[in-house]
Amino acid sequence: MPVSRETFVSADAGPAAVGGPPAGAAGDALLRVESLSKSYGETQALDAARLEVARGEIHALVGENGSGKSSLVKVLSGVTGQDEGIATLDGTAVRFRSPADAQRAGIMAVFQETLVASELSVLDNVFMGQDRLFRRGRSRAAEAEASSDVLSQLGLGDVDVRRPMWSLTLAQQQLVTIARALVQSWKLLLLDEATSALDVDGRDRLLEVLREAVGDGQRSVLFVTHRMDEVMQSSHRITVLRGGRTVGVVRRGEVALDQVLSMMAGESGTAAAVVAGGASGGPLRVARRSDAAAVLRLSDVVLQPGRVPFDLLLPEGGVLGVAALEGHGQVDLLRCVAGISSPQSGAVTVVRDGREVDIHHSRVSRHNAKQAFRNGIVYVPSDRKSEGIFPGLSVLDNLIVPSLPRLSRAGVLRRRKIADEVGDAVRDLGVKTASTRSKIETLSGGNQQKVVMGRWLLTTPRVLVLNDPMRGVDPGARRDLLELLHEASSRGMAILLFSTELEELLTLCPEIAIVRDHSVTQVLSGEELTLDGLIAGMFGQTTKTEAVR
Amino acid sequence: MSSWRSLGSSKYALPALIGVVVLWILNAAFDSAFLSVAQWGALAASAAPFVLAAMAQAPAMLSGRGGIDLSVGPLMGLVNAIIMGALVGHGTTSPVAIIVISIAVGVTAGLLNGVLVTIVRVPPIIATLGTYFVFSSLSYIVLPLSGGRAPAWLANLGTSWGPFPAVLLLVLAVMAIWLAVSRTSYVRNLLATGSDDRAAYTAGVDVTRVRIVAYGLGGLIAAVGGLALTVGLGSGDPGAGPPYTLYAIAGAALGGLSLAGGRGGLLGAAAGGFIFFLTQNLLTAIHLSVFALQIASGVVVLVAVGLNSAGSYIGRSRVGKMA
Repeated sequence: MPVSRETFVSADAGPAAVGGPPAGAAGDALLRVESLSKSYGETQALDAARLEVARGEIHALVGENGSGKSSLVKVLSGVTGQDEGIATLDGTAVRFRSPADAQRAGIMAVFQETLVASELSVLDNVFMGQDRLFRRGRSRAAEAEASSDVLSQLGLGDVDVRRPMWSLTLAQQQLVTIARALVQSWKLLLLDEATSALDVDGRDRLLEVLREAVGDGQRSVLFVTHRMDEVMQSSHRITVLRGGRTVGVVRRGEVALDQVLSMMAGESGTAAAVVAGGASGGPLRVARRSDAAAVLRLSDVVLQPGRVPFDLLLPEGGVLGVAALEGHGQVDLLRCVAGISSPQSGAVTVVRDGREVDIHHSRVSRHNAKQAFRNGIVYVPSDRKSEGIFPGLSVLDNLIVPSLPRLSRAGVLRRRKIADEVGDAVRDLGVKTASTRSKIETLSGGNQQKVVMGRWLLTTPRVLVLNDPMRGVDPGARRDLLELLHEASSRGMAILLFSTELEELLTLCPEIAIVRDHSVTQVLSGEELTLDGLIAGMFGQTTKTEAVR
Repeated sequence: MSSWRSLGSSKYALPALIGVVVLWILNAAFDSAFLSVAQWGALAASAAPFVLAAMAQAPAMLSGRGGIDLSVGPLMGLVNAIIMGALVGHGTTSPVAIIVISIAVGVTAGLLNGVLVTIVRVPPIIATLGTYFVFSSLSYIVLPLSGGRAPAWLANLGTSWGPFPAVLLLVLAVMAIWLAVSRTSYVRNLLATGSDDRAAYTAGVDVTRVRIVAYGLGGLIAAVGGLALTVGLGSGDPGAGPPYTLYAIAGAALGGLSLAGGRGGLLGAAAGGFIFFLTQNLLTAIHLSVFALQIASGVVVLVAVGLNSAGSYIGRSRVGKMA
């Protein structure tokens, strides 16, 4: 999406904000953060990070996963404390002990998770947290009046504020959490991926509201997002974090998107260099298997009402990558394939013994997931901590859980067979562990991920669906995991791999599907597989390549 | 309208209120006491501890994160033991002294539960199980043997004043306190905390204080329940309290309160406690054996709560699709 300068005419004409001095200059900074550090156990989430937000500015905070964006927001909003460093707001040093504390100072935060009290009414959710323990913040009449303005600005004017929160859509709920911040008298608004559930229309409207709010030249907005189009479109300045450190502050319009991306990634190499080796050590691409029999077929699938239908085909032993910006429906696609959620229309079929089996034959999605699993489709979710590992259990137990039927006879575990298979698996996977009896949480993140993947490989799936498997995995282990997948595919297993790390997709996949606006807009292969090509596709610049349909 | 907004909706209590009416009619068919206004006083005196126990359970349950107060029954018993053993037994019969000391004991005990749950971070079911044992035992220390005679003013609450069962005053007093609290912002804070404590915390609610107050409020209501227990017994009994813990949980569940927190209120809990009493009374009136009585009560609780949660699930998914 091209950056349009016109959208900022009004802000550009405004006070000091956009024309203001760069970081470091005194005077008009609303918020200044210096050498802020925060660690969780052994993980250094923030390492002397810097940040300066000018008055009247919309400031974007970008960085890859684990770069410390969320930690910074958590510290600034009082959700967690900092280990070291100083934050000054309006020239006064601040250190918040709770979100309520930060709010009193004028900092409001909205998070990606829709944090709502679903049993309470919309109105109660908007004003939640603004009262003292017993004393009301404002009268009911004042509440009704203040909320109706903000809600209609956000496009919720038609929603009856007395409705219970659970009866709203996810996007509406997210807007309510934003309204919760906007109705208060704030100086600094923190949006931590708070637009992820909104559609394009809702985001535009929110941007409009934010521009108007900072137009007074006093208030500011700091937003964190994975959607780079949003960043390039709406921010005055951009602070880039990497590994908990501030690696740059740039003014929008002065640098191109790919420069920002390479600051985030920390490598200035071109796409070609990345593919040819570089950090990842050479491509592992399997040959494109256009001749092999199809194992998974998506036809006329519509992920959300009103989106463009698409087809996809995954041959036996094929590896299909999925590239997308956050929030474009890629997770819906994966979940549809795994039978966890259902498409609006269209069919997802798996070919088994020459017959096509529709995964979504049942209206109860629970059954569909079972159906998918029975037909050899296995889904590995992205959140290893909450959805992947069984903390408290050993490496061995973590590996064999889904394979127990195969590894037992008449309900009794076959101990020797288990020991053999687990021993082989741990060796093949290169899991670094003292013993297979060690608790899984004593392993490093990368080794935990190897165990999670090994668990599903032990079930010998026909289709492995991976949702961002390299998240939070160190580079060495990444290479191991990629080789693991490569080998599995050469044994005939088909892989559908979504990754936020484009480099990995380019390393492994002979074909990459671009998901944009809840539809597959392109499938790139061969010469088209470059970092630039992927990025252009993800941002909707389909100049050279033909659309799939 | 205003209560609609601040308490979510009191619709949750509707099935329980209908249940009360139906059971009342059934009881009237089998138990002549229900038809004689003169006997309502005595009837209400045996019902009130059930009702108040369930109400005492409500704030803890509403506060979420596994909120539950197992010590409700023993606390009622402890208040009864203190009234009869430490006060009446030593010649103190003044209403002011008895009421003030009972409430002080209840609130202190409740706040202790609250501090254990929030600051010491013991899971509610364990924290209040601990105080369950402590309060049960203390009752026997304060009043080793049953007996004594309740002071006249207290015993008098077990009669009818005209058609009005006097013990209802205690229930109404608690209702009045709850309504007063509902007019402040506390109930919204409580339901927000119970519904999703992380949402409440990040929005600026002081969830720790909200929970401590919830358990304190439960202790206060349990103390009133202890007074009602004394009215019903007419004397002291150190072993009378503990069974009410389970009646209280059954009552709160029957009253439509969500055990996950955030949904319900004291009206539902009161109705649920009354339903539990009416069920027991009805089964006794039709001469069901004492042993079968508990089976029947258990089945009633399971069926009612099962229907309730299935009903709300179905209703919700339908509306969810509409939205």
